[in-house]
Amino acid sequence: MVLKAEETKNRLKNLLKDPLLLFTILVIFASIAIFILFPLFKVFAVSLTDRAGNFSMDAYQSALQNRYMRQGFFNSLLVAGLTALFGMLVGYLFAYTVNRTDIPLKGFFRTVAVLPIVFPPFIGALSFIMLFGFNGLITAGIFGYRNFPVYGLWGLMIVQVVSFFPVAFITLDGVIGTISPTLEDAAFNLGANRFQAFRKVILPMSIPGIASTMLVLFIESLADFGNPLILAGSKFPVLSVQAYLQITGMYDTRGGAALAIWLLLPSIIVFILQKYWVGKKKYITVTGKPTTSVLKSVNKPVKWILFAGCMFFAVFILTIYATIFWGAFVKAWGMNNTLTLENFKYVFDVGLGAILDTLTIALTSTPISALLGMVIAFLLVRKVFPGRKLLEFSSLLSFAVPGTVIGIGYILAFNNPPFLLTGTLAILVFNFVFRYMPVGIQSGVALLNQVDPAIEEAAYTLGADNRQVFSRVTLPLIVPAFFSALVFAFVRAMTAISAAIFLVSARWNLVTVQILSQSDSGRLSEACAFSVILIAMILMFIFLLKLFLKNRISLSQNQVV
Amino acid sequence: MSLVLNHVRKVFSAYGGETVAVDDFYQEIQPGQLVTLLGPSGCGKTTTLRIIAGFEIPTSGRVLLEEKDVTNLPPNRRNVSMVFQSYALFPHLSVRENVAFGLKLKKMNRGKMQQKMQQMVELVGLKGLENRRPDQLSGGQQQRVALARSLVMEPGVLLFDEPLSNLDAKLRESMRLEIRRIQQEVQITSVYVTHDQVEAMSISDIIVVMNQGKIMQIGSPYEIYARPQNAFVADFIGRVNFLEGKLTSNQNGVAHVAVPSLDLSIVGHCSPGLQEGQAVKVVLRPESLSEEKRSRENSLTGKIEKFVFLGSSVEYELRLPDGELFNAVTFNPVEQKLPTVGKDVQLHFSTQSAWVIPA
Repeated sequence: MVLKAEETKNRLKNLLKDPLLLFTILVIFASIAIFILFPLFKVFAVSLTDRAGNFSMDAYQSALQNRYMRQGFFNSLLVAGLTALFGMLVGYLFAYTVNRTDIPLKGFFRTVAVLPIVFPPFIGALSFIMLFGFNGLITAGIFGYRNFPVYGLWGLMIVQVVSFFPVAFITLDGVIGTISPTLEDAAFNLGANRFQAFRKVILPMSIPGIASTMLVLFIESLADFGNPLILAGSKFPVLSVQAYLQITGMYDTRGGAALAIWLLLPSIIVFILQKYWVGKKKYITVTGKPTTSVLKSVNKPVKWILFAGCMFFAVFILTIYATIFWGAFVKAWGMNNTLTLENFKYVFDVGLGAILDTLTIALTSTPISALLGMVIAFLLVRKVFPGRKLLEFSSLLSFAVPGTVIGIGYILAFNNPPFLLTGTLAILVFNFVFRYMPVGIQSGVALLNQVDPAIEEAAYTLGADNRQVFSRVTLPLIVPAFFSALVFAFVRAMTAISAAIFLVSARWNLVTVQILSQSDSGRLSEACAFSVILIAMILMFIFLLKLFLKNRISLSQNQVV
Repeated sequence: MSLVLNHVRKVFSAYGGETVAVDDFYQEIQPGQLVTLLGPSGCGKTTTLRIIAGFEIPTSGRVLLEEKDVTNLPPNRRNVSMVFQSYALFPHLSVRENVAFGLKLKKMNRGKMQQKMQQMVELVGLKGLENRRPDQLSGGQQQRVALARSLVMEPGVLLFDEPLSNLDAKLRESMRLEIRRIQQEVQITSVYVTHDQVEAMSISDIIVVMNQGKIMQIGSPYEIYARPQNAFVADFIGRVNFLEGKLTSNQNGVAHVAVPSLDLSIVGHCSPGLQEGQAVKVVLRPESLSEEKRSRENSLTGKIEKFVFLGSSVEYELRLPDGELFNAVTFNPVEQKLPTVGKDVQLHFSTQSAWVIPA
């Protein structure tokens, strides 16, 4: 034990000799404490006090006694479980098909599989109602059927699968794409048929990806606010909406905080379960010795079945897009289908400020979020320092925390000095940075675990310090994770609603909030026009990024994969 | 550059228990020497190497480079370079960029960098492949890039972590000669880790045999093979027979050993420290036995159980009178007759080739 103490001392001395590393770690710890832990603590604290500020469980008790609230709790879990399963399956279908077959239209499928991300969360639901609802284009317009059950469990689940499966696709695409085809060759060579090779090699190797994907989807669904607000209906209450209504409708902060805690607990439990299950699996498939092989994972019939599956979902997704696009150009959906540009004129008259605000906030928070994610992934996977486990847990925590909870936490935490941020740009930027960083961390960690540590060690022995190793070796090697984090963070910042709806102000407003209020007041076409503009900005960003990547990074990306 | 490992000890704690990976490792390495750490997997050789590189921090003990304590220096400030088993080339960089990686960090001017890079690429025989990427090279070529990338830094110490184990046998043989040639050409202090004894024998000035974290013996390849200090080393390096007995006398390293089970008295050599009456083992290499007597003082008899004809040699398995198996090998079998299974033979061996160690 004395010897161990000396080793620890040596380790600390090493850390002190690298002030940049030490500084980075300290700054990250401090900001996570302030922007993730402190707001959560405030939610707990408020939910556990009564009006006079004394300790009390009243808020929980009244939440439990309410049958409606209890029902909401179970509904939330049910939808989340189903969305996790089906979303993962659809994501896997796309990721596998695109990476392991030689079907035509791969680029098309790749694009379609990330497109739903650019939907503001509840626009999927809006479009779903425009298609299948009372005045639905398909149900009422084509089949003359006005009572199609779009509201409730199945409608909500389908919309959530469509909205969230891209997250599954992005993760699984990274995982399956980095599994070397030579491993399948080896399995074939050992006498496996194609199905066995899939079941015994590809599937087990993608288990960590599948697990983390389902973790993402479960928590996304649980935290989803926009879709249930529109689609759940009064007969199918879900927790996130109830918590919001409690605060904004009844001005009951403590009750809202208590509901937020009920929403938080299952998320955290799933998060921890998965974390320790996924954490045990680790595969190194990228070493310094790259390999190449021809794709031969599936036979012809299976290939076309997979193709048909992807095509079905692709058409479904595009229909939803088209609906919003079309809706933006008609006078009144379902009633007066005359084409017009007036909706856009209205949007620019009323919402130009919100559009510029949204862009400013997204462009500020995105690069910080993605880069911070990669730095933390690097520290977590490659560095040993005191508190590493704590850093890992708390930096991923904000990801397990539903936006509603974070939103409530932020208004409680940053309403007073020393952190008086209410109504500022900063509160939105910080919120987005720390809220969307975990996805970057996760994909960075996943990719980094597949990179042979010797490659970075080689850089150290060649004289590179931590900063140089990170910028010259690690970052280029995990560049796919970095850019997927960048895209993800940007899109989420642009389409954020669940936490942001608590944080917007007269000075800083968001397009998503505009869309919500437009559709709330029945101006569906105006809401669609806002959405089209939002989607256009997101697509433009992705397009520009891709253009940049094509010239700069594509080579190194190929090297890694 | 000289390298001293001063009583280095490394303890890993995992799953509540503690494993001693390296135990009291002491070795001084002279400038220009190539020292090999040899041992079975898990013996602590790679951990020792990683301590020298700075990737692991020793639990206790110091690492001295040119008499300067570097125990707490990070890897990038040690002037130590490493060649990895997996090559660990930067997959996103070309051969040229891989080799120039460290020079760029040193902010060397372009002309000089280009010249050094070119010189090194030629030294390792990769001329013309400068613009390839690692995945366009064979395993052997990749390892040459790794070597060039390390050498170009002119490090004080060059570390090799089983650099040849991913290569095929033939390439391994030529690469180890190549590594030795280059190492001697640039006179660089090197520490080389391997579990392959032939590799160790052919490449090293000094071999450090390790087992379970402990140094079993340090010596030249000759000493390690011909004069092992214990049964582990004798057994680990090459093939060996042991005869157990008791030391009856030790005069200036000439030992008499009684082997009761075979009713034999053997004259051999031993280290001077052995005491009369002590239980000992006689180490006999298979190739030291011969059917010809000439001036060989010792002999034993056995029945041929089986033999394997290997072209240049014949390997026997003999059953001794006490029931133990015994290995022998004879060379140039074409000149002699092949042995007959079941036949009793008398084999002779010299005093020099009978090496006595403590039991």
